[in-house]
Amino acid sequence: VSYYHLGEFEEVVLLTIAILQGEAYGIAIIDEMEKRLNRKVSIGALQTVMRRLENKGLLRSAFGEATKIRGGKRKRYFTLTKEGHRVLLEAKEQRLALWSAIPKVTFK
Amino acid sequence: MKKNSSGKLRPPRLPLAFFRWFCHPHYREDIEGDLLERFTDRVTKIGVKKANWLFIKDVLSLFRPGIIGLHKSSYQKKINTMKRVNWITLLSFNLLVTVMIISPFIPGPSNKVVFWLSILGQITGTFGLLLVPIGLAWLIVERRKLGNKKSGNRISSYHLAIASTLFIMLVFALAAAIVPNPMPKISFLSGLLLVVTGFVLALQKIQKWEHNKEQFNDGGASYILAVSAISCISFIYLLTSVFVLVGIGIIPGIIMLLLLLVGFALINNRVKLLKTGKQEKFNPMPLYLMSVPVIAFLGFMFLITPLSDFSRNFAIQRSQVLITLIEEHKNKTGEYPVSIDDLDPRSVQKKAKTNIMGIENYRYTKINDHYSLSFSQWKDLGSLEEIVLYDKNNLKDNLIDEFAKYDYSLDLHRVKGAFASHDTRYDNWRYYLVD
Repeated sequence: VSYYHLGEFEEVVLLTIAILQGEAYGIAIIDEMEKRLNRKVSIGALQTVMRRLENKGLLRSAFGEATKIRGGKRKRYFTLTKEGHRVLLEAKEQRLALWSAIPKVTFK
Repeated sequence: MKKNSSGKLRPPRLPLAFFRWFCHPHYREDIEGDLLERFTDRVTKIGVKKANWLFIKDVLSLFRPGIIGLHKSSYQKKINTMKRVNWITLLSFNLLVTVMIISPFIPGPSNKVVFWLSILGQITGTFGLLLVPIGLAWLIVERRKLGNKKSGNRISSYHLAIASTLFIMLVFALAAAIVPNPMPKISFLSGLLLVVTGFVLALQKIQKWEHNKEQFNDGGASYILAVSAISCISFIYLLTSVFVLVGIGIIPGIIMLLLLLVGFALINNRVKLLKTGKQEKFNPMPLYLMSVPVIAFLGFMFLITPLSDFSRNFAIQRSQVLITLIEEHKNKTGEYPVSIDDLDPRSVQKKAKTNIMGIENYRYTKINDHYSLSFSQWKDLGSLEEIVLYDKNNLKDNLIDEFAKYDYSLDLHRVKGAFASHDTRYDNWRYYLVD
């Protein structure tokens, strides 16, 4: 499988889904991202990215329960696929490698 | 505050309806749930008014390619089917007709063929407009076909085809009744006869299919429309053939008529396919019937005048070198040349040409110590000749000796019969409009 180059927002979405561990559905992901990153997240941007990552095979989704507050509409829970895990780990290793390559004097 | 029957808060209806309309059906349920959950949460935190605005903002943020997925069953199917239309071919065909119309006015080697091509294009842009209602009716029939609507539409498509054909007949009949001149009257009556004959034959064919309990599409609507379109196109072609027959000669006219027969033979099989052809396949023919005459009409109406101004000025500008050569000849020999051929052949060979495709070479007339130079271009279906005349000594009003006698080949005489004349922006050049 060829390596998929994650965008910054894609990486953040994947990480947030990984954090939520099986509880990741649209609103929960937005809340978690806004809380942790202190930035506004648009529902349109998030949904588009999640559908794209799902089409790329990095995410999978399944319907969950319907609640009254949701007008009887079911939640769609997202989880990382094996490929999603691999891509996230690769992104992390690349960043760490870059960090470790920075000369110590730079941030003194 | 708006609440539903169970007393729950509900978001603005229109944005929600818009979301339901554009959202891909696979994503609709969970995203709508997210929207409602977020809305309810916001109402308790920031109030209804702000929550409503933010709901609208959320819906608009979802209106993007990854989420949009309009109803595939009908709309998407139509779009996909329309993608099979070769738009480039359609565009090229329209462009070709436009180029045909303007070809006599663009720079290039002089050629009589461009005149006839322009006539054909101009006829398409005038009489061809009769094809537009047929094309429109056919487009409706095709769209209904793709909409998977059954029996109800089959009957109405059939009547739509009959109505559009009757409309064409009415136009022909009215035109024949209104025009006073016998030639156009005969032309319109011939057109009427062609359409009526085609219509009767098409109806007979459909009756035969019904009688034999054969299967056929659209209640025969496409077949009727195709026959009507062929009748109108044949009328346009025959009209051009008559122009060729009268303007060029019998042999080219007969060749054109033979080509029409070849065209009939080729199109016959295609028309037969309309009877039981694939229902789901979109037939692009209505798009041609609608676009080509309209584009030709626009070209005819709005391009010919500016382009004929351009070609006239272009030819006048090019004549300046020829006029200089003529004057130089007079300085050398003491007389103007008898004909252009008397000038230095090496210089004249290129410089005596107008270099406009629809304008033949300059016409030179010497009368005693004076001369005139002229050329012609044709407009309005070849019915209007524009004679552009260089006459610095006002020869046309002072014709003497053998030139005083009317000579149709002499532009100096012909311009006297012009119904209008106009100045050009060049000294001593004037153009005259002759029927």
